[in-house]
Amino acid sequence: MFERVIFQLLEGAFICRVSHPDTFDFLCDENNLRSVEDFFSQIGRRVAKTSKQSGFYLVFAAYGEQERSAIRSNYTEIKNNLIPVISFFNLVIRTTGQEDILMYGTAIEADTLIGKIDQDISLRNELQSLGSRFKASSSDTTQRKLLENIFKRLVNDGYLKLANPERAIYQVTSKIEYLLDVIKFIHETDETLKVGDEQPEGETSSLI
Amino acid sequence: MSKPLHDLLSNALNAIAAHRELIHAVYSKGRYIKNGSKTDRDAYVLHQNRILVSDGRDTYRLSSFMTKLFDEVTQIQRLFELLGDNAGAQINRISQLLDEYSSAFFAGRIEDADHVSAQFHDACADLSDTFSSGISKLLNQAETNFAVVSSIEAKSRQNAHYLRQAGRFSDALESLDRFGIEQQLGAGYCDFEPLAISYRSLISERKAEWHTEIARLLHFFETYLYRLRAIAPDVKRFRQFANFLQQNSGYELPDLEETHHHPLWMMRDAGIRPIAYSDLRDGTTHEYLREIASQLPSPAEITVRERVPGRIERSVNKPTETLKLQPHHVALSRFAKDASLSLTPLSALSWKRQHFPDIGVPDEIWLLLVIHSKNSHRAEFSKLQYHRIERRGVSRISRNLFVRDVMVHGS
Repeated sequence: MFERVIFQLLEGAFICRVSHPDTFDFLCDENNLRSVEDFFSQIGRRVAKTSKQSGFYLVFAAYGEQERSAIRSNYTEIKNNLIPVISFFNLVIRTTGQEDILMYGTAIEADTLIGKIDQDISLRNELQSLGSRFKASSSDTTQRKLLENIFKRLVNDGYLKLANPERAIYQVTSKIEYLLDVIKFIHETDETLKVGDEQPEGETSSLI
Repeated sequence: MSKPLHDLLSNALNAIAAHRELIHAVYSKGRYIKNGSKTDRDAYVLHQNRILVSDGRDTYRLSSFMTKLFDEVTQIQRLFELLGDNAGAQINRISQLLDEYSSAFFAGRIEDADHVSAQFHDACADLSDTFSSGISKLLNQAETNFAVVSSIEAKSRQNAHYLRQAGRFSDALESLDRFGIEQQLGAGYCDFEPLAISYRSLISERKAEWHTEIARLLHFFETYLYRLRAIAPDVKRFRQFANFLQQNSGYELPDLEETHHHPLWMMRDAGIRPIAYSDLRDGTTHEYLREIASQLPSPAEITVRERVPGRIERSVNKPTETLKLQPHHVALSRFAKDASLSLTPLSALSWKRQHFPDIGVPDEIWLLLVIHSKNSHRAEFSKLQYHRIERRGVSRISRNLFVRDVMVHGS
């Protein structure tokens, strides 16, 4: 099990009860976690927990010259992928009304989702534009196929786990907490967003 | 004169059966408004049987008992349902009935004692039902994560409410122990046996199960409430950001490389794919490696042809393809040549047997090939004369002609 944990972390996986139940249980044991951390401390890395403590992932132990390029490339990847992923989860919230979709472990039923999207033209358009953001659509792709492609992509990216293939039920993994951390950071540091937040208040006060 | 009990019950059951569609409609829609139709009479009958209750002059609703029963059956979740509130009062009632029983017993009022005993059984059954159905509903809420509401704030409020309900069940269970009903029943100063049987089967034997379920529910609600409260600011931020993105489709994430603060998420190691090779000097692995090698598909040959910039490659380096003739084509060609040079007609069969006995073509096919070569429009065959040696079929009336040989010679 030790070996499996090491390789999964080295490959950049988020280990939680949804995505890797066996190895998650292994890491929940303090002694096991310590032995894994001892191993990684020798190669300049350590095991971190997501903000709500539901998953483990690997981070650099320090920010040095060597780590800078890896961190830069990681951030570039986030820049490229973050907006489509946010748009997807927002579409699910808008379609089902379930805000708890952003909690790790929540289930998404693909059939229910596509059924609701089918009934609303604005949601259908949103799915279509989401498909092009994910580069998952072509001229002959049906709505269902499009959604399947997006789900597949999010499973590959580690945000979802196909929990029940027969009923097409997906579960949100702990990587969602990583996504929320990124949003929080951007929210706190990007001045553009602060201006956007303050704008409605300014308008209201001027009306008063 | 009051009607016998069984008549009232029969009437009520008949009314339910006869007007089940109306009951269904009232339960689904929440009310029935009189509209001057025949159904008004049905509603009145149900009202008489206390299945519908009047709600104003023209409106009927389903009685709360019936609604509760159907909620149980359909597992419908209601907002802020009161589940554990009755339990305390029901426990008090059990204790009071116990006192009443002992009073009647010591006073020698046996009939009263029997009546109280029956009531005690019903009270235990009511309490047992309150616990079972309440816990079942709480479990349903927990399993579906309060599916009846969608927003995080509403879920948090529902969770807090049902946490209180589960707490009430827990308190009720504790008070059951505090009242010491079991100790009283086992004290022996009175014949409590009929009561003890009811209490044991309906409550004592199920208490351990209720304790476990309630502890599980309390843990779930507390954990979930914590998670909901923890995620609420994130959800709010997420929705704000998502709305911002919808309104500003051209937005790009800022360049954060030069920031001095490096949060944990930024320090993530996105991962590598470790590759390992087999140690070929290790003899123990040879068997496995051989097995793997035998299953590998043969590699595709890739020829890289270097192209000189600014020059179109003609057929200089193009590989030439040589068309190879089949053996019977070669044989036919040779036969034609020999036949054209021969002074006498050449037997096709004899020639084949002499020169090409092993070309893999049966005699009949060879003769067919020779016959058809005449129509091939090739120069080597066009100048030849063909003469077929035929025989008729064995039967007298047979019209079949069998070609025995073909004699060929030059013109």
